[in-house]
Amino acid sequence: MASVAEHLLVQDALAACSALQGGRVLRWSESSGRYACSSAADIPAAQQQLLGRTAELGWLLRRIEALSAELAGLQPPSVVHEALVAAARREVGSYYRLVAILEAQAQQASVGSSGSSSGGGAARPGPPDGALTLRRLQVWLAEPLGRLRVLAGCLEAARGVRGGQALNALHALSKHGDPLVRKVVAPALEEACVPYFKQISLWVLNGALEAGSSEFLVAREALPPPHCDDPAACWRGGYRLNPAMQPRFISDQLAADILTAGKTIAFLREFCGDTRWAAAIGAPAQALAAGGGNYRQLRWLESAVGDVKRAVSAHLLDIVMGQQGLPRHLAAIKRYLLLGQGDFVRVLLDAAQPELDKGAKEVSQYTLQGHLDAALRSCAAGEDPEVLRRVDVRLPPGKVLEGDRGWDTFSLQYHVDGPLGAVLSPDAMQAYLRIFRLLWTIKHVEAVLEQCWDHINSAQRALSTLRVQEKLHGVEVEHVKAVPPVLRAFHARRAEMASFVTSLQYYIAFEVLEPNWAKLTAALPQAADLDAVIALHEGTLQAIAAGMFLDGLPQTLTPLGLGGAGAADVQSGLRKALRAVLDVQGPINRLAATVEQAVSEQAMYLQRVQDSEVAGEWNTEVYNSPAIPVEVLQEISSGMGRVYALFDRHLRTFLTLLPASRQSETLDLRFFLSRFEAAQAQAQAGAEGSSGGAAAAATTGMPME
Amino acid sequence: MPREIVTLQVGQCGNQVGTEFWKKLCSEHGINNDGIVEEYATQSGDRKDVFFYQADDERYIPRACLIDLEPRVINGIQNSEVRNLFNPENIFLSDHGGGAGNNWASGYHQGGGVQEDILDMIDREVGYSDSLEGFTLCHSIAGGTGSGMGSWLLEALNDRYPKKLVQTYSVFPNQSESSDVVVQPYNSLLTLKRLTLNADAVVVLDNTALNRIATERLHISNPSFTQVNSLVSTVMAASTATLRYPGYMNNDLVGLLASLVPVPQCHFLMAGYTPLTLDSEAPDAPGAAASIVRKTTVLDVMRRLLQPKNLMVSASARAKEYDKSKYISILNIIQGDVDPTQLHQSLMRIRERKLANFIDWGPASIQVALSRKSPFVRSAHRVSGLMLANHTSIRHLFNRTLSQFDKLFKRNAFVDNYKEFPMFHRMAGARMEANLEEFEDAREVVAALSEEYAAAESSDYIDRADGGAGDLAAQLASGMQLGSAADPRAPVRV
Repeated sequence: MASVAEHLLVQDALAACSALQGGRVLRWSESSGRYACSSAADIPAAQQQLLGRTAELGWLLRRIEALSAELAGLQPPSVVHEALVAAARREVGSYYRLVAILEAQAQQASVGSSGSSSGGGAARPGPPDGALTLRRLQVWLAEPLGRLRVLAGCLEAARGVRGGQALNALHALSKHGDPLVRKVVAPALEEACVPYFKQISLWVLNGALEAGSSEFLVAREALPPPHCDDPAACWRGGYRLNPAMQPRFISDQLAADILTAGKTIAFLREFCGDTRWAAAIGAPAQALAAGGGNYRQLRWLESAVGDVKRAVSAHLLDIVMGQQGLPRHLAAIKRYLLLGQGDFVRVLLDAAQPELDKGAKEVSQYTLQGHLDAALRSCAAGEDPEVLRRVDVRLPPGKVLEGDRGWDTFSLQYHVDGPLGAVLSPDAMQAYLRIFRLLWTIKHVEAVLEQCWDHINSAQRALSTLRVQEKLHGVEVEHVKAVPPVLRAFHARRAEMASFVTSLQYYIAFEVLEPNWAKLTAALPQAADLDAVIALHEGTLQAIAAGMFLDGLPQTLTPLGLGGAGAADVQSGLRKALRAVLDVQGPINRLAATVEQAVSEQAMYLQRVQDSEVAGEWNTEVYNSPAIPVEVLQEISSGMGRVYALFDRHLRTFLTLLPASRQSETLDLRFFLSRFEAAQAQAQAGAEGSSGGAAAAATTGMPME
Repeated sequence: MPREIVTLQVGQCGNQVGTEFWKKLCSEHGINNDGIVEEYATQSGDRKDVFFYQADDERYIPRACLIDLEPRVINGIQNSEVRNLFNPENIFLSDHGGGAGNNWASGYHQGGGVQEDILDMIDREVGYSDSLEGFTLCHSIAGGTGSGMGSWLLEALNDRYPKKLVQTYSVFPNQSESSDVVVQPYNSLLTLKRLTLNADAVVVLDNTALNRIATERLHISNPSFTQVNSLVSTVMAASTATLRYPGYMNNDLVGLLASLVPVPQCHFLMAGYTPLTLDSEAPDAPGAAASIVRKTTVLDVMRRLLQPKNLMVSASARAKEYDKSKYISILNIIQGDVDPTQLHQSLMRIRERKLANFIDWGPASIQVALSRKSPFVRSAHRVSGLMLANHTSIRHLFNRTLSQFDKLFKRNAFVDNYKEFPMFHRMAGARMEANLEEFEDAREVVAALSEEYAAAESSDYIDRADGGAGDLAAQLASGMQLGSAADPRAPVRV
């Protein structure tokens, strides 16, 4: 077998380089997936080796073609990959140019050599000077080989991953220590980045995502139906960062900025119906759009995106705070839901009381709404009707427990719509609802205690009328002298309960509500974006709720064996104590009624006496002389004893539950508790004393029923 | 439908003080002398309708009745710059215009005589309100009309409106110097009985202290009526601030009073105000020099309120047995630009330093009501404060009245003036003889009141009163066994 001429081998090699099927010697073998020398030809091992090396190019080229085709044909199409493939094709194109030049050279050489051989016949052993030999070819192709290798590596790396991840893979390669590798990867990466950055600018400037795109670092979240129209849910969860698709060269901060900017625009478009945002982001937007951006200009991108974000956030804030008037609504909520407008509360309490005293099932929403509207109208705040129409009565549908009164279910709600819903979200409104429930309960209890004060006072006055009449006509009313001590005791008990309620109100107003609210209103104008506003608002609500013992107190703080049935947590302790106070009106009203009845009996008695005197009859008939029945007094007193005992027990339970949280950082209860120290000390002293103070009284009061 | 309050001003002092009060309210609400709201005050968000109602012509009319038995003061008002403010139908002057001659009995008796006219007037005024909360009475307890007719009015109100609150601003006479009204102790005592039995709360404005404050604090060598009345009107306006500028708490009279009066009889309140200035129209008036105090933090104001010298009650009454006397309750109404956290800290500081000595038989602490300040009245002070305090030392004021009364009554001095009126005589056949039971009765009531306050100083007050709530029934039973014998623990026997 004759040896094959060098130039033929070169042609073969070049053919292989172009990923053709092959030449005479070197052929592509589909089965093994590589180029192989035909065994028929007798080729020296050194040349075989050279041929093999050159053939690697062909293999790489095929590989690149295959990968390109695969990546370009991805379903769903991937823009990053498409760009990468284009970059690869360009690289391959320039390689083909080189190969073409080499081929031309080889052609020349082969023509020259064949010419010389036919002409001279004398075979010169070596190729002519300057002719393309396998070795030379090797040298020529050494660099392209490296490039193609890297290119294939790039494509390989991008395979199986998408979008940002592909960029990530390329970016990792671009950090290679070999400058040659970097030289190849960099343009590829740059190319591949182009669509990605286009998407960034599309998102940042328009708040638009390409349909079905899952390669971007921002992803749209499909929300289930009740939430898809809810601005809060959309703002919070409508779009999210997709960290898997976040190229490593984009910092978390930048990613967050990108998300916020686009999200804000989307929100503006969707919920504010705003079109002026484009003007608002004008200047930075132009810069960003013109620059396009690539991964080398991250600094610039960061600042450009940052500018856009700030501009568009400011615009949204402007709408939320100014046009939509968030501060105005917050002020209204403070007035009506947090009961800051005292005269409104007063009128509503007065008007709604008869309705709310009914069972929860009989309460009419319409009646209450009427009372509410009247209270809103009469209140001095002079609010504009646009705000007032948002305040509404809320009675929980269906969930009525047996024995619940209207007081237990009534609450107010405040309606918001549009972008405000992002801040005053359903969750926030739920928190307001809970705060309102407690505040309202306290106000109710306070109102009841005030009425009791009034009743005791009128009883006191009725008593003095009684005594005046007694003195004037000499008609004794039996057992009158037993009443004043009872009255005084009732007064003292009432005062104690009132002091508890007042202390609670002071604590809530001056240590919880007002400071937190003041912080909120002070910080609001400084907020940079809607997220900051939401965070501020939520933080305030949480602080208030925690301060009012609504939550924030771990259940584990609950000591064992108090209140029974595990219900002894702070909040229910408080509620029980408040509920116990409500019962005080029973005995007090009965006492007042008893005294008043005695007054009218006395008047009737005097009238009869007078009548019989006028008639000139001897008063033989025995009239019932007026009396205050002592059994009734006894019964009322022991009733009061029971009420007070219950109150005392619940208050103690509540107070003993508190100190556990005294050390808590968020809650400073020292002052609140200090208001009870005197009472506690006194109660203890009383309990120890044999005569019986409050506690002893409470317990000894029981058996007297 | 706010909880309205009708003001009744009786007698010379009552009308003067009351009119100052209305002027002050008008300036705070931006209402001019004709009852028209000034342009700048239409959107102020305050509550005008507690004290005013709007007439058909949009004018704001004070819910006030001006009652006097002699025309001088009311004529003066009708010729002053506020002549158009009041409803002329609400002015009552007796036909003869002879006054009550500084005689309680005359005032009381004349009140009964014109009962129909006056009650009609009050009924009409009550009819103008949706949900009347109560009445405020301004009067002095020393003269004839304010004390006598005021007393009658208190009883009449109790009778006619038993469910309504009655609060009074009662000017107590100057006890330090000899008064031109020699029967002042009689008048005072008889009025005090009604204040004890028929009022829900009495804000005591001691003329002695008012004059002292005017001279010492305001550096006026010889304070005029107007200047002293301006002090009173400041107190009255501030004590109603939370009703007129509603906030989270204390938005009604009953809430204010219930927190101050834990025991029914002890409803005599002292008032203190700081920083004191006179709203002198002329800035070069001597009063202007007094407004030098510039530091008005909440703590500062609250501390100063606890200083006895700012209280509008006689020094003699306060100083006596000072160590024993205790606060039953304190309500500070702080007006102005107040940071709630600052308030809370101030209360802590005051508590730590134990600046106030409270009763120990019940829960007691300084209560605070925050209120806005009128935006229309310029003031050099950021914060001002009013203290209403229920303090046991007030009993010395009563004791002093009692001892002065005893001095006169022992000698039966001047009782002839009283004997002319039906309450103080009875007919023995055709002969009229003096019946001074009313005096004795009043003395008994006031003495019991003083005892009640004294008893409140001891820590076993409640136990003493009722032996603990628990054995109420047992105590009731023991009360039964005692039969008709007077219960030594019953404080008030009428």
